[in-house]
This record gives sequence, structure tokens and C-alpha cells, in this order.
Amino acid sequence: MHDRDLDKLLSTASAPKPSVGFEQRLLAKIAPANNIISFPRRKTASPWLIGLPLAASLVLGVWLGASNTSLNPANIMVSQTIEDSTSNGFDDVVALIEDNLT
Amino acid sequence: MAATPLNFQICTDAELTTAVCRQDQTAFSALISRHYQAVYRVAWRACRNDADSEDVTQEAFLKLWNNPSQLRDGNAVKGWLMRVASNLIMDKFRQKPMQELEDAAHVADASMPADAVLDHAHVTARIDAAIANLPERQRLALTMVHFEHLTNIAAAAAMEISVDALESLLARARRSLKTILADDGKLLLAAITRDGD
Repeated sequence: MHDRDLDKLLSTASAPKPSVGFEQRLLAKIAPANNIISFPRRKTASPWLIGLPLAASLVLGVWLGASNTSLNPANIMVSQTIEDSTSNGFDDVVALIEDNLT
Repeated sequence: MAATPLNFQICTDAELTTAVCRQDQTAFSALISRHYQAVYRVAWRACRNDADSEDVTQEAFLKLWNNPSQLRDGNAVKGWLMRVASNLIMDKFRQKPMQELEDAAHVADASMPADAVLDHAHVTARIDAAIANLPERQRLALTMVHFEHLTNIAAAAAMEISVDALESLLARARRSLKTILADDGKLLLAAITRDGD
């Protein structure tokens, strides 16, 4: 078969057309997508603003828990109580009276 | 100073595509009006089914609307839509049961008995079937250049191949058609010559 014959045959091929109203249906498809109004985005605090104080308090808590220093309020009270009891105990009452009398 | 509104009827495809990137519905409508028939024809040549062709045409345009940035050259939008439609129709075929395709081929062959006196409608059906049976890329190249009158350069750009590769596809498509139509080529030619007289 020659090229010219093939071209003749190709010229008889269909020229299909979409159904009536197809363009309108297609246009209608995109319309709803355009009408969607998105909710305004909620403002959230920066993760650093939340994370930094949390991390700091965690570190402080661990340090206070692990350290056996006088900064621990519990230690201060206990040591004070023992100190007081040793210096002002019942056994020292006589010595204190004698000191006051002299 | 306010920007002058674009007249979408005389805009180039590149200008329309830029507007579509801004989700301009009017520009998109203009693109649809300009190209939907060509995109539909490309899909139809692959499946010869009106409903599938309309589905695929719609899907191709929606792909563009939802993600216009995937189109690199706005001037090549027509070819891009054609290629997307062709890919979509092939995906659709792959999903269909093989039996359906075999049935369709059987009906096409049965429409033309060998010794029948052919009329123009039979010749058209035979040519349509021959084109539909071409390998996917050959059919797309032939449809773009022969039926939709894209230049070789535009068609090659749309298919993302070199012009040489496109010309090779076109040559193979014509060779394939000659082979497919070889047996009843004379009969077909006689029919269209007789109808033309």
C-alpha cells in the first residue's frame, strides 16, 4: 500500500464529538472546588515557647532530686530540727539553768 | 493603578495556564473551551467509547486544575492534556477485564465481512479499529500529528521525546497500519473511491 492510499484511508477516520452539554458539565465540576472556603488556620504557639520552660523545669526537678545539698528545703528543716534538739535538749536543761543563775 | 483584566479569548495558552496557577476559574474555562474536543478525540481514538472518553477528558482537565504546576511549559498545554488523556485511557484498559477488550475487538472485526460490498461507514469503522489497535505511543504520535495537526516539535515535547524519536514512531505507526490494512486495503480504497464518485 502506498502512502497516498494510506492517507486516503486515514481521511475517512471518524471525527468524534463529545455529547451535548459535556463542556457545561466539565465546567460545573470545577465550580464546587472553587467555592470551598477553608477555615482560618488556628494560631498555635511556637513549640519552643512550650518546650523550653518544660525542659527547664524538668532539668531543675532532676537536679534537685538528685543533689543532696542544703538547697533542698527538706534537708534544711531536718538538719535544723536535729540541731535544735541537740542544743536545747532535755539533758541540757540543768546546764542552761546554771548558766542563767551565774 | 489597577491591573488590566486579561481577555481570555485572545490570550495565549501560556497566559491562560499562568492564570490557572492562580486558580482563576475564568481562565480555566477558556482553556477547556479551547481544547476539550481535541483531548476527547485523543481518548476516543484509543477506546472508541463515548462514556470512557468523556470520563478521561474530565479527569485530564481536573488533573491540570488541581495541580497546574506539573505543567512545565504553558504553551504545550494542549499536548500535555492529550498525553495525560492517553495515559489515563490506557490505565482504564489495564483495569478492565481482558474479556471485555476481546469482545470489543470481535465486534469490530465482525462489522466487515471479507466479501461484502463496503459502504463508507464500514470503511470508517475499519480504519478507526486499525488506529485503536496500534501500540499506545504510535497511536498517540499519529493522533497528535495527523489528526490534531500538532507540529512534530510540539508533539515530541508533549510526549517528552526527541523529534527523531517522534518521527520514528510516526513511521512505525504508518507501517503498522499498512500491515493491518494490507489484506482488505484494495477493498477499502475501492469503497471510498466508489462513494466519492
